[in-house]
Amino acid sequence: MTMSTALFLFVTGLTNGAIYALLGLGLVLIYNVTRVINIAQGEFVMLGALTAVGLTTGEATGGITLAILAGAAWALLVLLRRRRWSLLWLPPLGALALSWLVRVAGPYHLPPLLAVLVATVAVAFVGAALYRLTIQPAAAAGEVVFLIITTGLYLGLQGLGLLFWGPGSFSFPSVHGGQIAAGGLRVSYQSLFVLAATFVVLALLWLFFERTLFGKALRAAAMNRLGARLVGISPERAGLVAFAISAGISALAGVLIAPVTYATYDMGLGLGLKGFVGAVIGGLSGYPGAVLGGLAIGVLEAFAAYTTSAYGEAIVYALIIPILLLRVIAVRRGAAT
Amino acid sequence: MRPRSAALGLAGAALLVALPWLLPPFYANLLCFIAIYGGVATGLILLTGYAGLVSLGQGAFYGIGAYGAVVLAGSYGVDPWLSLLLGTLLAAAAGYLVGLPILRLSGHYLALATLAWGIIATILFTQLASITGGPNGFTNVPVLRLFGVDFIDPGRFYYLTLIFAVLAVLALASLIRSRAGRAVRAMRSSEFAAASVGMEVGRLKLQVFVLAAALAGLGGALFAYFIAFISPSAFDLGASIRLLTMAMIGGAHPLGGVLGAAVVTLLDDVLQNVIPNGSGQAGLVQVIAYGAILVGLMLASPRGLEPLLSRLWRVRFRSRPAAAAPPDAVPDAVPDAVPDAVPARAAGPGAAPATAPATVFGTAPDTPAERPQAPAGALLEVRELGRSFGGLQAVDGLGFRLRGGEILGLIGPNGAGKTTAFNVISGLLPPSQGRVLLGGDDVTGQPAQRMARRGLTRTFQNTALFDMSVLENVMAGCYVHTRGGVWAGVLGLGRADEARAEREARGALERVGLSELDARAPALPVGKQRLLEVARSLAMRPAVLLLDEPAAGLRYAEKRELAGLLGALRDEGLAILLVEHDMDLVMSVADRIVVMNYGKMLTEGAPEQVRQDPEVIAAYLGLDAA
Repeated sequence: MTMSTALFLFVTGLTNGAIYALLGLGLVLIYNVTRVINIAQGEFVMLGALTAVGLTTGEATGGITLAILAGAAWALLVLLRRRRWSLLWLPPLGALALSWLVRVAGPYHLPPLLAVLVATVAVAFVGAALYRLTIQPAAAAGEVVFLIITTGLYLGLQGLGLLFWGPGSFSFPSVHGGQIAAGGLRVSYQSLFVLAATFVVLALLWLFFERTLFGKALRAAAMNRLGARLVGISPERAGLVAFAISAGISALAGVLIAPVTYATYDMGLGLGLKGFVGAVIGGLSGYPGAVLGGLAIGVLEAFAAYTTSAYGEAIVYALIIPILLLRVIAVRRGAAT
Repeated sequence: MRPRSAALGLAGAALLVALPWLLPPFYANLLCFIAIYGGVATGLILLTGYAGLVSLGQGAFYGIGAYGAVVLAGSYGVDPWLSLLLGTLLAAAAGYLVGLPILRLSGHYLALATLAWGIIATILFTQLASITGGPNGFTNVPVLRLFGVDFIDPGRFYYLTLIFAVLAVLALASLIRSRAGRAVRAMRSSEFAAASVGMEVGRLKLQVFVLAAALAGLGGALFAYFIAFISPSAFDLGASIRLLTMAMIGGAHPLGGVLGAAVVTLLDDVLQNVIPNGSGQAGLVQVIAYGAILVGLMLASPRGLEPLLSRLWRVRFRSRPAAAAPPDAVPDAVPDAVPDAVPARAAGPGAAPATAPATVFGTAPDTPAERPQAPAGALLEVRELGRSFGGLQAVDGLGFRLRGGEILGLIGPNGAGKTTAFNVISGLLPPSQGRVLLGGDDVTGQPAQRMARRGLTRTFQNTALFDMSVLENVMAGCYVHTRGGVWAGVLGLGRADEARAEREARGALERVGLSELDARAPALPVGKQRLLEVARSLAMRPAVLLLDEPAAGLRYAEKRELAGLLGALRDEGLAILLVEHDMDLVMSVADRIVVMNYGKMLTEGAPEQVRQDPEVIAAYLGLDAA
């Protein structure tokens, strides 16, 4: 392996790793606030990428349809639970109206930036609605039930992806098509953009959790549900917001990666699992750790795929087991000293 | 077995045998799939439903069994029948090798590790193309043939799959009501409590995991012979999720796996027929429907169909001695035990423990001799024991000796480190400093189940009971001095041990004055839960008993009865370490008292002496009062 190959692999790995890092951030956010390990996290990536593609080409806008469906189901749930008017009506009805508007205004060829924005918001809303419809009602059931629920969500969302967009692969325009050449190494602007976006999201999350009251409330709800409730923070609302932000971040990741690797209906699970491995390397509860872990997984995967082509994937998945074990041992050590 | 259930069973068996004739030929195919998936899902129910270990990688073992069997038979000329066995063994071996590391994980970590394993296995099935045929699949599958009869026709193959499913269901039904099955269910409720009654939690998990892998392997092998062509996609993550869906639909019931398999398989069929084919959307809607069903099911009934099944079948864990042990299986050594046990149940809630016989276990005359003999010196000795959490020294320099036939009270204000001391002594936490000696042997840092096997057990401040009946909870306490592992449980061996355990459990329950034998333990009021924990500990025939606030939540009369019981146990030679906040109780029963404050030992002495110690008074009431 020459130096330039190694550098190339390193940059490729970092680009993919940035996507895993964004997924890891989303997973950690959800895990911290709700103790849910979200198997369906990667599906938000798929939804984000394919919805944005659909909005620019004017072809299939399944993500918006899904948002309408989710909004309708949510509205129905709220309607059945509370007959009197309350603020709780606002998110489902507002989103329902908005997505309907987008739907009837089509077919459209939105400029990419606007498409990204609409797709991100739509997926964030789908995330919130899925939390309200499937996770919150099972809050008492415990982590294993959550796992099976999110497995079901993964299946359902992936199937819907296939239904909406078919088995084809789609590309999305890059932010900037060019490349920087530096010392024999070519780095696309998109790669740099993906990396930059990852750190911007990390910084925004930090600002949100450290500098806003609502962010602090979310952290409180993550640490102690009962305690948070006693001081007037609703763990349910915290979970809702966590799912919305997390789904939004993942959708953004999908839009960012779509120009680099093609977007397909089944891209989600693999991305989500690698994001999870990265997050676990980083300790599963820390945001910077998730980013570093995701980047590390990306680089490792790039080199593994180059050296042992067929088994590159297997090596990354095989890493999950020792990493989890080391983590459990570390936690036990921590308790023992 | 009662005549009616025997007749029902016979009718059911006849129906199962006659099914291929009763249904249109097309359904024979479905029946085969239901039976195969049903057997595999039955293993998964043991794993997920009873042991609480979620596997998202069961498709891997299913695939190893399938590839193992047909590759051996097709490429290496192994006899097809033998290859079924070898495929099963391969899957079991894989289960052992995979389970050994990953079963140290629990909860969703374990589920994710199995998910990763499933994906790795699919990659291997695809990449090892020279053996498995790669993505194109493996077609060279021979025919299963017995005495010139070919098993090709689904109507005939059905009987092979039926045998598999029935054996799997019977194995599970037999296992869960055995000693090992009780332990499997117990460790799901509380691993700490399971370890403190001497259950080898790690080994049990591994055995259950291997058993489930073996069932998946045999199912996979049958599947491969049935469809005569296999490719990696039949064993991928989708297959694992499908199997898990079946298990979740069924819930923790021996018949759950087959029922779940039937629901899912028939649903597939319906979906395929309802949705117009040709558009290629059938499989798609199926996947979405799976997702929706999985989510909907978890929300509607996290326990699956089990509550319904249990109500229909009433497969309850029997509490009548006659049912638990056929009369001829009762060992001669304790002929009077069964007659003793029956009135014990009839005595009703009013039975006072004060009237209990004077032996430790009332009904089993042979037990005191089997209890570890109290040596002349201290049974339990603790030297300079210390335990810190980060910077906090929760226990610091605790030391005492406890002889047989003695009650030592351990008191101190809240946060003094009493419960931490208990956790360290009973092996749930390793100590930071110091030594623990049990019967003169150094047992420092040994795990709780080893301590339990050496005759030391404990109760918990926040009761840690198993989610099963009261009687079964106490029978779980007999684990250390009965025999029969997972394999014995599967084969239904060890009935005599079970009968003996049940008698001892009844004796111990009578001793503490509990008569709600069939009630679910977690549903009892707190006071009775505490007494139940004491009974469970007694059923272990301990030499040293650690009681963590046994009187909390008890009413006055109950406390008096508890005090009487503790006195009687001491007189029988038991060494008791008692943490208790009810000073009247401690002062009245304890022979000596150790006082702790801020992790350190304040003083040790007779109750009278301690009561008047100014330091103790200061610790409890604040310095000014001294």
